[in-house]
Amino acid sequence: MKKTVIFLILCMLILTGCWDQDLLKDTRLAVGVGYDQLENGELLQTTDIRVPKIDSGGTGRPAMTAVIMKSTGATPRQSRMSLEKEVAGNYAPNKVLVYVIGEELAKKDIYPIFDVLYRYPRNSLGAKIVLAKGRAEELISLKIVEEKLISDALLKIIESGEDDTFIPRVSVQSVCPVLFNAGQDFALPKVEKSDNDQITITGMALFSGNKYTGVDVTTEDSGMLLILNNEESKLTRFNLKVNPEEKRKTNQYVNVHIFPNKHDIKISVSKSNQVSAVVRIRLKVHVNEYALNNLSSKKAVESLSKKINEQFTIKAQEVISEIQKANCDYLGIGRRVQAYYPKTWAAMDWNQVYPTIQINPKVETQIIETGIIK
Amino acid sequence: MFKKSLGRREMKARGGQRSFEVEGQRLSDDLQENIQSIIQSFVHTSDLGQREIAQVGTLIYLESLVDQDKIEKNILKGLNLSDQYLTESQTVDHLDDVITKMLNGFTILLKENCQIAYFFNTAGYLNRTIIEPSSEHIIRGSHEGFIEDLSTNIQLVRRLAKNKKLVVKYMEFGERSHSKVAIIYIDDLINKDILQELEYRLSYSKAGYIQSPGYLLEFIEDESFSPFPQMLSTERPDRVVANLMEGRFAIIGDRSPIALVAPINFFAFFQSPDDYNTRFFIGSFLTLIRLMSLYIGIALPSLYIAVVAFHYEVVPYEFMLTLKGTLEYVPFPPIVEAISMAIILELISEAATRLPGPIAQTIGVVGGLVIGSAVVEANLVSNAMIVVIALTAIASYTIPVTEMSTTIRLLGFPASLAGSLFGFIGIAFYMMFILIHLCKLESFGQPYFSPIAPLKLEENKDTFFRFPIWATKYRPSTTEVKDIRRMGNPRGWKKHE
Amino acid sequence: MNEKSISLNQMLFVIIQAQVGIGLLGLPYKAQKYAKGNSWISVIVAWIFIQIFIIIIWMLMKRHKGKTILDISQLFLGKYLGKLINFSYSLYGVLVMSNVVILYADLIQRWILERTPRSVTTFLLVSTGIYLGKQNLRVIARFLTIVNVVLLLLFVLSFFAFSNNLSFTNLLPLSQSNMKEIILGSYQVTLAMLGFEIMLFIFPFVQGNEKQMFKKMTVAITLVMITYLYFAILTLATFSPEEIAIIPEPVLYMLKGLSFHVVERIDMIFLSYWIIPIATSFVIYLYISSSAAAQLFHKGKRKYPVWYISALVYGISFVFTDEIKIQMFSDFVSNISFIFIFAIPLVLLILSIIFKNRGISHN
Repeated sequence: MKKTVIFLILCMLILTGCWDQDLLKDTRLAVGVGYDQLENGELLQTTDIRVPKIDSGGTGRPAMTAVIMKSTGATPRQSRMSLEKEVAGNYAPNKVLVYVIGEELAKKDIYPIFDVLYRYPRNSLGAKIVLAKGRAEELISLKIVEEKLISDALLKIIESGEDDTFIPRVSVQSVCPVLFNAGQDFALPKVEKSDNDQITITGMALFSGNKYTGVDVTTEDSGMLLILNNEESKLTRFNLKVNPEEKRKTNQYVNVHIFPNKHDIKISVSKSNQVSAVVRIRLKVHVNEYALNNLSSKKAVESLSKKINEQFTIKAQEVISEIQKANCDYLGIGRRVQAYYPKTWAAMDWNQVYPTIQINPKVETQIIETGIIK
Repeated sequence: MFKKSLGRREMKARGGQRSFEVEGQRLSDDLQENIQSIIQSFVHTSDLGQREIAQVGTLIYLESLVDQDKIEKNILKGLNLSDQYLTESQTVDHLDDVITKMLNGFTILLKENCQIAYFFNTAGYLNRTIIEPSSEHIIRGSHEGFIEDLSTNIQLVRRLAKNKKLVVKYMEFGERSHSKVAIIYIDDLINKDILQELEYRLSYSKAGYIQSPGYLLEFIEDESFSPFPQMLSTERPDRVVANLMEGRFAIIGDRSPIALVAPINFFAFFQSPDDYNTRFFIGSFLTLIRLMSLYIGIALPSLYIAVVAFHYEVVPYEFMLTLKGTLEYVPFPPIVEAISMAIILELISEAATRLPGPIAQTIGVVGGLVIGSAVVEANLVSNAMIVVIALTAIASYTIPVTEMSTTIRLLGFPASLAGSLFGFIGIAFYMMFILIHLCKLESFGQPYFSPIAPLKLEENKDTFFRFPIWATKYRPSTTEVKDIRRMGNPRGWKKHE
Repeated sequence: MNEKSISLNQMLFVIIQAQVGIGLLGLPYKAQKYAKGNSWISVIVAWIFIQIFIIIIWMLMKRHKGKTILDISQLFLGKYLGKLINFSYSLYGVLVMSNVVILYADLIQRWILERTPRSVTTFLLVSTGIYLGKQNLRVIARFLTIVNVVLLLLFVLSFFAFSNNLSFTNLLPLSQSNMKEIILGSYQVTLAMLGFEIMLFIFPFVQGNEKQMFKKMTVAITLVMITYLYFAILTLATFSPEEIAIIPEPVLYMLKGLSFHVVERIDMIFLSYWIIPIATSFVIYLYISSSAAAQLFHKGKRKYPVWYISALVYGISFVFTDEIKIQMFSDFVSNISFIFIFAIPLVLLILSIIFKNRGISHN
């Protein structure tokens, strides 16, 4: 009797089961998604879908190809629904590699675009987010870049940009806490389609609140900003103009590779509720390239070190004034005020105050290596 | 249904009684009558030999079981030499005993006007030589294996153990075929409760014919409806002795090379004598590999199914594309792929074991290569699935005891099913069921999953890793041995250097 | 050895498994409602509360060696009132089990198996629960001991979360919630740490003296507290306080976005493992409920009550399906639980102190 019941239940499960089955072979994998604002207020979704090529049946690994599909809707989910009508198979955005956002769209609050990504469990939170100069649609429609399918290429470009400390590491997940936090703003990597149909990183797009400010930090300065926020990556290199007096342009510059080893932001609030911050960083410097070639004496090294320090300080001041102008609290100073001076924080409107506060960078440098020659 | 079984039970009872009546018969005074009743007992079989010896009596024996040379040399010579010979030999007085003796290859001497029969051991069996058991190969260590002769087997055990407390108890089972079974244990190590439990359970083992200890095993094991073997069956004397020394007992049957060892725990099935003949790093590494293969054997196909049918976002992007590529033109759901491929593999292995060596190799080639590649060519099964199933099979074959390795593969089927129904959640529940079952299982009242559950850290020294032998100073407590200490301090010299 | 007796270490692990369960996943979310960024302080406060409860339970059980709360209640409250108390414990077990099952079904449906009917996922849990629950205490203890590996695994997985941008300033300032809010938060945390009341039922079966047991009980709840504290801090540092307010399962969400070269979506793997602590909580309360029912109706045999209690729980799980109802039920169960973990043991302890000789005379 007992066994019959167990048997019947098993049969029931097996015969009716697989409610949630979602076979990999039936899916149409979306790997890159771009969102743009249309003039009628709707969203334009451009999707890069990975599909095996038609003639590659049988054994081995069939070659994949990119199919670009477009759909529109008032919300991301609606445009997805209209896309699903066209796709041959189950549309699966679970493995999206990159989300590309058009400039126009980003100038409004971007949370509505991300809401569905946070709400639905199968979405990929590890996907990268980038801002496209112009329209995301143009970028994704490239289809093949550097002999790679567009989304794969885009991902690789972003990853190498991250490794070189040009752009911050941003994923859908990592943006989320900042989207909700009033005391910190974020920046997205910005890419553009160059004239010869390649993709280049142009810098960091600064956001204030959840809106794109329209201000970018170029790749020359973005490294400095990332270091100020303790976000250095594998390789952090700068070309600094240390000898402007030299005639030959090559001789004016030194190329350094830096290893930040101390980072500290101190907040102080004066009696009149004036907030000021000191960002202290200590950098270890490797000289990569110095065409002038006179580093044999201790004195020469020290003077170079001093010049490098000056240059870094100038760079830091520039970049800080840039983000303050854009009202983008990238360094999270607001959050620190909130944590350490909750009363001051409650009394003021941070968005009004932030551009006016004093932020002083203090840079210490030390040349510790000059390569295998002096 | 109920009535039928009752009827059968009654019949059995009656049958038992009848045989009992025959057993009671004693030998009579009359020589001819005795001979006749023996002949009748054997139903006039043609291999019943008789030899009359003048003034002494009649020798009677089963020609097929005795060695004629022994009769000539021992009995006839002995009878000629002195009259003392007979008084020194053993006697029986029941017809039933006479028959048992004859079935064991003894020669019976019946005398006129004598109610007792003399018997002489003249058994002449052909035994195979002692070779390494083919199912339990090892690389280093003893290459002896049990054979089909009980006394030889016991000799092998005794030679290894050399212990005066080693007890061998003979028992006979089977009403229609008297099979001799030896229970071996070391008296000052084994817990008396276990022994009592064994004897109690064996007292119920009544059957017409007990072919091998495998029959007994099913009669006395704790839980029949469990996939896990609860007694270790081995053909290696060194394994038996090692277990005897832990306070376990062994059952060896006549005419069977298998010894059953109990109470056993789960992890004993994953240890090989090899581990203790190599350096402990190697031994530990191999033990770990085997335990890993336990997990692969049960879970790998189901994990793969769960990934491709439910949670493909778990694997990295590039790997997922590869998977998708191999799956794209396969028409079946992964569960069908997995089960059909697993069955094909079982077919190949079963065919290969039944066939003689050279043909088995051919089967391996035909099965493995030809079917494998053809199935992929035809898009019936994906490449990835072939890899998964092959890996599973290989993993399960690394387990030293065949029974356990088959169990592991068998457990993989429901796991695949669970994975294809509920994905990871299904697998988690299935694994939990197995774990609960293992925790619940007992072998002769001793926890089967020890020393993991109940957790005894001290005794885990040879579960996942094999610690150096000198570190395992104590015997496992689960067998409740009388003397827990295994050794003193073999590395004591180190201190005095 | 007695069929029921368990060792001290097994007791430790039983308590840990009883406490850790579905509550951990939602931990900082619930406490955060009241204590905001200071909910990690609430965890410590909750630990102090639980330590007090444990002392009450221990003092009560110590005074009556060899008796469970089922015997003690009849001793002091008379046959009928005592039986009523025992019946209410059985009912309490049913309610908590239903709560576990409902929350589990909801969790699974939201996170992994969206379309699988709740009746099926619930069935899986209940049947596994029955299979373990009908075994004797020793087998249950063995199982609960080995599954602690899952907790270790949880820690290992959580190390990956350090690759997120953690901002520990979220834990500050300490003044963002007042004492009352912290205590309200710790009330929520205490609910996630329930399960130590199993001691009321297994105390006589543990081999060891009372002092050792008290030590082990303290170790158990402290270990659980450390685990909870660790996860509270980790999730608070991962998410901003405003974000946690909308994430009911921060621990899972934290793991969701991580990706590594070999494996991604760690939350799914984690959730599949997390089934085990959920099932063990279920089994613990099945043990409580069925031993109370067994003592009342079946002369102490737990075989039958295990079946009908599980069936009852399975039935109840069909009633609560939408989020608001689930929330209401969950709150209700949480609120009454204080009667059973705190009020009844305390009353019995007071009675026991007043009527000193009662226990001896009855023996």
